[in-house]
Amino acid sequence: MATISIGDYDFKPADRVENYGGDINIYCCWEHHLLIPCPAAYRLPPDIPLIDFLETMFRPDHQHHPDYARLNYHNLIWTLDGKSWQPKLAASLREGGVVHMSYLSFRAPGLDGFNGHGV
Amino acid sequence: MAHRKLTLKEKYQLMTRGLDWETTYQPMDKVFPYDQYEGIKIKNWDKWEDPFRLTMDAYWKYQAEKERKLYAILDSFSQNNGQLNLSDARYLTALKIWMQGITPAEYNSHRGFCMVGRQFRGAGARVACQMQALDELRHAQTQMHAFSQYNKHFGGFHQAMHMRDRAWYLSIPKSYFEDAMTAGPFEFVTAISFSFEYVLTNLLFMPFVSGAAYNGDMATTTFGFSAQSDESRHMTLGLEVVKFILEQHEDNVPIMQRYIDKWFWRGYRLLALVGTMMDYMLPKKVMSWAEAWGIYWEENGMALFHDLERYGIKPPKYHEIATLEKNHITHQAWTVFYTACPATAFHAWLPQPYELDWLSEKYGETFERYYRPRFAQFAELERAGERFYTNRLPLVCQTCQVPVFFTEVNNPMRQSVRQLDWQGMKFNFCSDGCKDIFAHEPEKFCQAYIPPQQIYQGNAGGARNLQEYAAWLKCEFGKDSGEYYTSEDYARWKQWHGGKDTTPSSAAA
Repeated sequence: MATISIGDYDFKPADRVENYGGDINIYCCWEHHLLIPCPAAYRLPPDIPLIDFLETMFRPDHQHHPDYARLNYHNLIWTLDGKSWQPKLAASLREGGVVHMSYLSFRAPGLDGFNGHGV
Repeated sequence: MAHRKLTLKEKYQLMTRGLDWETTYQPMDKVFPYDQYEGIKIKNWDKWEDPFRLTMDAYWKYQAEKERKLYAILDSFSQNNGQLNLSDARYLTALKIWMQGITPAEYNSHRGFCMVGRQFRGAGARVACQMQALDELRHAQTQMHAFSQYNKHFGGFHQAMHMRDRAWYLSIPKSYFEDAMTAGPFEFVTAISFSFEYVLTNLLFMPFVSGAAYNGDMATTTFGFSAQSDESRHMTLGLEVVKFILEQHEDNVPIMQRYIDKWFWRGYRLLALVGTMMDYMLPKKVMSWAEAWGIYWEENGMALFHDLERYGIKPPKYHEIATLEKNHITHQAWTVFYTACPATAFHAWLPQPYELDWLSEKYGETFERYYRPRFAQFAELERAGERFYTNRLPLVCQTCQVPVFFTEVNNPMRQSVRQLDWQGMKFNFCSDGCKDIFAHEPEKFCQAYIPPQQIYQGNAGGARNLQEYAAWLKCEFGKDSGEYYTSEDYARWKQWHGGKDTTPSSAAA
């Protein structure tokens, strides 16, 4: 459907990728770890390897969590934009099919938050 | 010769519809250019029933009388240091969010009613909107005055309008009213008069004013009484508007159904803030969010929609989802407030033992299983000297602008995220309700001002992290924001009470 209006109504999205100076925005969430209650937003270059994103951006947000020490990047169960995803850790986000405003989430088998409470 | 005194009915006719005329120099369609493009068909504006038959001169008289009483009480409140009678200074977080979020919304509502009061071609509707425009302006002003005493003694009450345009949690009410104001006049009245004032207002106003009374806040309670007769007029107008439009033409029914679906869902998402106030910010509790939802929506709301069935109107889409979420959203929202409060203009805290028990009593198994353990973990971190704050900007819904803390109705451990591709770009949402609203008007909602994304684009005063963002909000950590029990508000409150902690030990008033 198109917005009903009194005249031409054509506007560009406020968060279009051109506004990010060559970067993109992505969202990422570690499921069953609701200490950070919302999926988090990251502005980053699309050529960053997934492993670098996890080490330099994701890690500082989560390393205080006791589950973090047991997190094994190699056995994570990922979804990208609602579909199952098997990324290569060394490949860039772009190569893995991640685009501006993509939503990544993963589960780490056996890690379900403090005492299994999902936090 | 003495003039015969006019009856009220005659006076009303002369003072409203009697002042109207058919234009001749310009066609009526050019004089009222906005009341047709939405597709709503009005055959006869004279069928508009005026619920209160209030004329402007009577309106001024009543309102002036109410103002005199209100300001007499506010004066006495301030002269007697009424702020000392509060149940607890934690209560003020509710007032701060009201001042920053709802008071500016009252002002926007005033602007919206000025607009529709010009755009309807029926004089009866125009007069009703004109009075409501004045009411809303009065509410914005009297709220600011009622809260001003607190501004002398506590943080976070300064510069509400500045924060309204910048703070992430205030973009929720702001976008709600701006969405309505940028819609056509019929959508605006359905959004504000019907969905907000008629269907949902009991969930907003009742807990707020009763909460004020339960917690010793005389200033706000008095404001509430002063606004009450206005609110009942607004509610009556809301129902009248919808019935009038539905009776005018059958083609109006599907358009109105879409408006009702949209504005029920937007209003419900906005009310997550109010539910959180009821369950977490009021030291003395009125009722739980789940109880209020049960009474005001599941019973009263459904009865209303049963009455509207004869017009072909169905209960709003996704109302079952809202009911399924009633045991969860306030605990989830408070977790966000607790972890993100350094980037706000209010304080947050962990529920005290008596409150945990009250929440267990009200929410039973759900609270025990999912949320009590969460607060226990936060408490453990506090005891270890590591009070947890989040440093990361969240995913915010493109439609309702609430950070996506909602979970799937069948899995409270998994965040609910929906996505839509439009014109080669991805958009993210908190729910199917919000995704549907976007899908109907993508050209409108793609323009949304999403605070975290504005920060990342460099449009938040150049802030690169939450600390710089808080400075741009003009919020100082400890003074206006962050943990309550290490705040200046708490220190001052304790000092006024002989150095003793006066946190209540029971939820009963």
